[in-house]
Amino acid sequence: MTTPILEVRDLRKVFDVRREQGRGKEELVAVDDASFTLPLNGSLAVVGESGSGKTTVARMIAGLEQRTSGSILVNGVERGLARPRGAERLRRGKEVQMVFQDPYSSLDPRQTIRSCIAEVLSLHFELSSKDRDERVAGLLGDVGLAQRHASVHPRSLSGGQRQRVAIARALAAEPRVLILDEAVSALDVSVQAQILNLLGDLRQTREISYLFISHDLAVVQQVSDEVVVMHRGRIVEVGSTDDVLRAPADEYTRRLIAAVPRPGWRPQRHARTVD
Amino acid sequence: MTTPVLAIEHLHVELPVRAEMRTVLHDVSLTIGPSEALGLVGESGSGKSMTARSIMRLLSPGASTTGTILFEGVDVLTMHHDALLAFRRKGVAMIYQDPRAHINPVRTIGDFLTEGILLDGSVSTAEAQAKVISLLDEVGIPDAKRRLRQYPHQLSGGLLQRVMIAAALSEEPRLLLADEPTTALDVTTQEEVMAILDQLRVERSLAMLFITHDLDLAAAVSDRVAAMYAGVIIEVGDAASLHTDSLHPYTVGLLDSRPEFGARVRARPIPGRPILASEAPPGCVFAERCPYVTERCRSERPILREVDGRLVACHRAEELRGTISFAGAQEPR
Repeated sequence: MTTPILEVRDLRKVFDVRREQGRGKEELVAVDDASFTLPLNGSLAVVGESGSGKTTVARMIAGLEQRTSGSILVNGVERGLARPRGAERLRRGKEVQMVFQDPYSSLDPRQTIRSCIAEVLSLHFELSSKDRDERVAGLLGDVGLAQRHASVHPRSLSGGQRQRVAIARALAAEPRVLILDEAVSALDVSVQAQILNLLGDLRQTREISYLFISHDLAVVQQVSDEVVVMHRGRIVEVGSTDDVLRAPADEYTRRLIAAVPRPGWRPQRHARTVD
Repeated sequence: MTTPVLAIEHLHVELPVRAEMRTVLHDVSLTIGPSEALGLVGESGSGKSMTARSIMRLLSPGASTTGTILFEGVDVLTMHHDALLAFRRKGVAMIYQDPRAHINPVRTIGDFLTEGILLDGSVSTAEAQAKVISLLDEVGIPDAKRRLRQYPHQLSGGLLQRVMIAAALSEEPRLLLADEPTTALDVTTQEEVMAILDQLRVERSLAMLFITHDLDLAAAVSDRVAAMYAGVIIEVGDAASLHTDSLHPYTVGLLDSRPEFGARVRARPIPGRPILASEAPPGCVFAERCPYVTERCRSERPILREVDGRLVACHRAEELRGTISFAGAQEPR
């Protein structure tokens, strides 16, 4: 069996939070023993609602959040708990990159698009400036932007174009895994479809695996092969996306699917639940 | 014929943006009948919220407005102070996307809900409390007494939006303006809140303008759906036949852009990006992104006219009927 590109085992995150009433702190278990694997060239979606722990999982894998316990294996190699420095940080940057939800806050407003992408290239590769410019041009083409976009600042781009830049910047490091954290949620419907098609095309042409974090089941269905459903920090269901969406086994997954508006759908009041 | 609750006719709105006036609505006409729900859909910047704000007369100072907005036959745009106050207090109620931005964080839920009812001076505090408790019960909030003592930050987004619905209904308005009321909520909470809103609206025979970017959601809770693009209403038709009978290339394109739930097919996106009303060309606002564009479309803006029982602003509606597809459209650069 080939080694999965990403594997997490019993991943756990506990935050210390201030007690709502009174003094002191209490523990909040954001992620409770999550385990799953992302196969090489695969696309795995983690779905859930707010508070499910899906973004915390993504942030721990990207190294933006320290895990409390459990293990993260990238290409079969376990990542230590200690904060990485220098060369190790760079190496990890070539393994996992992340695209965030809001393209209005994830790009530096003072940087041109060329310098934003070139910066990542210089960090990871020894390139002449001519080669670097060629790589920037190639990346812009790959994400469907025109060459003239290289010299502009983010403010003159639309939301969809900015998200293409964020994807190009993430791809510049040639990562093995791309984490997309609600990467199409803030986009208008007509633009969202363009980005979803782009992500599908990129996976055809390069060796890259996706970890897709989303609350949107219709989007997940479009981009993932496998799905992990999270609810209140726990994984409640894992399986092939088609199977889980067609025949959900877990009660919560069923509830989630039933709530998606579609032709002929009517909203239903459920038993009184207080959230 | 009965008087519509709301009749907007040829509404044109410009707002001052740095020393110049920018158009945000072009010649918008809409009607909502008694106890009718009209869904208003479109992407960001299409003018949906501006339409709602115009109805409430909540546009920023310096806005220039022409046309008429008739509420039960009376023009809102020319109402004087007292009439406008009465209209805002008793005639219409609005629910917003972000309830936290529209509730005073340092006052209790109880203060917030009883404030409007007590304003008249004709109701005692105890009566107002009783009314509010029954309202909270109707929006599915048990344990209302405890909730009344709580502050907004102690309630989840879903609960707070139900409080907003209760507040909107407390003055028994005839028209409800709901501007993306569930967009910030989780999908299971959205279903719950929409079901409550829908049920209470029907029980009270309220008219509603329901603004959303989600076509499926609009179709589920509205009688008719109007689609907007760049400050223009481009199509209005029965909600039940939105998915099958839409005529405007933009409406069809929007429906096709959304990944279809239950089938994995490559989306056929509309090329390009949505434009703002202020960027609208002299002809059809959608001309730039439309695969069926002709010379006439570029020079002459189509007016909203009846075709097959729907209203559509497209020169080629009859000819394109049932054949519109973005499958061959060039994906944008």
